[in-house]
Amino acid sequence: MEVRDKHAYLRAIGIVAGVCVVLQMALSPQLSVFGGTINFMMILAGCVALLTGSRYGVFAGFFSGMLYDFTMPVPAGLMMLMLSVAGFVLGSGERNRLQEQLDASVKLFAGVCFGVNVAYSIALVLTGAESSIISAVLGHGLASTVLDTIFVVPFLYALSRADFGQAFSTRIARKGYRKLR
Amino acid sequence: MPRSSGRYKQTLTKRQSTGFRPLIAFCVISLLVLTFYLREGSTGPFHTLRAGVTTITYPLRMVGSAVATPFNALGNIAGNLTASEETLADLKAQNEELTAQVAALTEAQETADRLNKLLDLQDTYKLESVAARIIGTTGDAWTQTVTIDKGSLNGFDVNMPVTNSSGVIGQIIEVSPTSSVVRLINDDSSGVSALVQSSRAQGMLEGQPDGSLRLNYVPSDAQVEVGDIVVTSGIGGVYPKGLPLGRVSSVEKLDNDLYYTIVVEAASSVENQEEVLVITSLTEEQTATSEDIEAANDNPEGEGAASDESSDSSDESGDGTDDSADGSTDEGTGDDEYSDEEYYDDTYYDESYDEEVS
Repeated sequence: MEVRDKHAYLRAIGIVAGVCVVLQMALSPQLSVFGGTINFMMILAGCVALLTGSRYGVFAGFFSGMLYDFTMPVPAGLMMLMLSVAGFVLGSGERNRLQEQLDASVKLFAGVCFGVNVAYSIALVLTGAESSIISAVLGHGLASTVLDTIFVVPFLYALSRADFGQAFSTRIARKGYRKLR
Repeated sequence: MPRSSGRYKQTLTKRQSTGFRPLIAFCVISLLVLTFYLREGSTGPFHTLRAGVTTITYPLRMVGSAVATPFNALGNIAGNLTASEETLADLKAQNEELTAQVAALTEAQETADRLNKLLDLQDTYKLESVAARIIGTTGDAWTQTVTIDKGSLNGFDVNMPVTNSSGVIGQIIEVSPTSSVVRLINDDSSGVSALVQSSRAQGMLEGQPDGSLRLNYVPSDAQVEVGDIVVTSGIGGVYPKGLPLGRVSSVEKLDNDLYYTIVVEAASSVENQEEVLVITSLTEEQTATSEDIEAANDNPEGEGAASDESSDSSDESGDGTDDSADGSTDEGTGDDEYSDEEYYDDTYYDESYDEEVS
């Protein structure tokens, strides 16, 4: 029973990851609104972290950031660092809060996303990739946060409505987290 | 309950510590990657890896580009409609700056083209010359002169001929250390020894008060037609022979006139030419030889006219001209050393000039 639930969970994560990677490759470089772009890798890391917790969130953030860094014309390693931290922060709250607290999850994601984008913008200024800190923070950071938050809602909503059985319910997590591993 | 609460806290503690170690490891790795990326060159391993990933994902990007293009257009329209005054002002300033840059680059391109043509002229005629730039034109309505930006310090001297890429424009009449004054060939006090290229008929190209050019002293029995090209003859030793002067635009001959009235359209103009070549010295090949001068004196109407039209022209021109025309005709045709083809070769005249002028 646990195996079946875990497979459902992995399948959901896989679908989200595939969609996010495709959108990141195809759509993200094309769309820019008020200087901001959609970071689907941030969305992927956030979904995984909010669904599974900090451990997998860190992994998801690291590898999502790696994909971002090597597909975008940005300093490699920076988004890996940011998303690793973001995955840890997003997943360090209550486990599987997504299915019970969608609103809070979105708000948490928005806050962490803003922090990541601002820190990333400042880092870009420091590394010389951006020239103006104001446009970097307010233009890139704020606009990207709004876009990421808007685009994460469908993913979080879909994951919150998905049926993973009891494998990752809060109750199971409280009773026996170790069994799931 | 206390036991349950304690286990829960233990579980949470365990979970957090489980995620913390990978976090530290990944942060270290990320910082190392960032450091190496920033320190490596554009051919480093991370740049190479990125190039590979970009190549692999290129088809996906193309699809995304095709899908997003209509939306980008809409976004641009919306962005333009909602653009702030500051943005518009910035764009206007940028537009002006770019327009100025385009003008400067176009000017540089045109200058380069003109200089290339000058170099072509220099190579074609093997001229020993120095390039100069026109910095001023005549200050009055009675003389046709220009001022160039080099003078005696550059080896310039009075009487040196000046050309541009189209042909002769004049000769230096005044020299100062850093500038020179050039009298144009259409100045009414200017005169250049010239000949009609096709018939080799000799004459003197003189400027007129109205700024036009006339080829004077061409005997009326010579063969001259509208469209014929007039080049320097080299007689006088000032101008190298064969340089283009202009093209015959009209030919008039009254019944009793000894000479044609030939109006020549100048090949060159200083209005749209800023760079010129000052010919500093002539080689032996570029100056008329004593044989050329003697032949010109003996046969001013040219060989073509002499050989083909001599009988007709002598009949038409009346008694006074018959003797001279016939006499020169006989000598001209009988002189093999001064054949038309050989002289043409000596002039270094560029055939492409016909096309340029036309």
